[in-house]
Amino acid sequence: MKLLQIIPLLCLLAGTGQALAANAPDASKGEVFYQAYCTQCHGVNGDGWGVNAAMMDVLPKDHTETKEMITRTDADIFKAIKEGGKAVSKSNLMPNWDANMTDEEIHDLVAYVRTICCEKGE
Amino acid sequence: MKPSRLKKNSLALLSATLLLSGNAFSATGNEAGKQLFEKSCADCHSITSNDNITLEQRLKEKAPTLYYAGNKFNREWLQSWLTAPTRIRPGGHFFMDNVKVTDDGDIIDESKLGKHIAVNAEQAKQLTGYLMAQTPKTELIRQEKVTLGKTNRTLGEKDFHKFKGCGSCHQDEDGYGGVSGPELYTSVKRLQPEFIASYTKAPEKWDPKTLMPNRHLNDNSVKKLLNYLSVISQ
Repeated sequence: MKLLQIIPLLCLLAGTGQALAANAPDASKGEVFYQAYCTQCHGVNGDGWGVNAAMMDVLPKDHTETKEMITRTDADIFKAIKEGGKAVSKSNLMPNWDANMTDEEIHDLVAYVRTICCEKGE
Repeated sequence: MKPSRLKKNSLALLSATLLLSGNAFSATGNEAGKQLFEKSCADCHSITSNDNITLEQRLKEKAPTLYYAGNKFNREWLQSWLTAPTRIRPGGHFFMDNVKVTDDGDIIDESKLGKHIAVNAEQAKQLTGYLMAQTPKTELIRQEKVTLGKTNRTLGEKDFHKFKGCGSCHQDEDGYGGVSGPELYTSVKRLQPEFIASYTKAPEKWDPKTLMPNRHLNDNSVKKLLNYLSVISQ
């Protein structure tokens, strides 16, 4: 009887795991969004020196600065991308990209930002 | 069927065909312009719907879509520009194609920027006729009521750069501002004011994969911005 109760529970857990894996953020997808929307200010290498940076009043964030970026949660980065810099008490020059990407796509982009800032040498 | 009736029916059919051809002709604009477009422009510019474009496709485009050219451009400007085209996007259509990474930061590699072909006055007229007939977004234009007015240039500049952040990607004077977007100090000469207003409010309604953010500006904010664009375009 106990065994019969455990089997469905295991099946349920396995199914949940698969569902979570399917929705896990994909950094490789996020790279395309980074190229399209972020590199113009944050730079091809993410160092904050994009083609627009020289003329800006506030320098874009250096995403390769691990020490600082590691203090930001994924939720912080997600909010900054979706709602813009002002929403996280940063520069208004960082626009909100909510009309350009879905939440799922922004999660992919956050995963890509993590590869630049916080996974170097891993 | 009697021969006379056959003749009459054929004539009616021919007339109907000609009438329909006429409608099709007027719907797509100038036929010579269409042929010229397909021969000289279609390699780089798309004129078909971009409703279902993917971001990957968007990034591979060589030039801006002309799908809604008739809702976007000022006719006189377009016709004149085609005879003597100048660069409008300092970084090219997609800046990433022309970026060079240097120790002093990313820059646009000028040697990668191509020149737009020029046509003669007659060809420019034909092309303009065809392009200005491309108006699939007329409903969006109709929703805008724009009257350009005065503004304080200094306050407008502050608004453009500091508060709205437009200057991060766009220039409001030659050589001043971002390079990834098109220059805006010629925008009111180039573009219909209603297009600028509509595109600024909701760029994704024009280009689902636009590289421009929707900053959720209200009508008054857009009006202030347009007045500034008008002042700097003079």
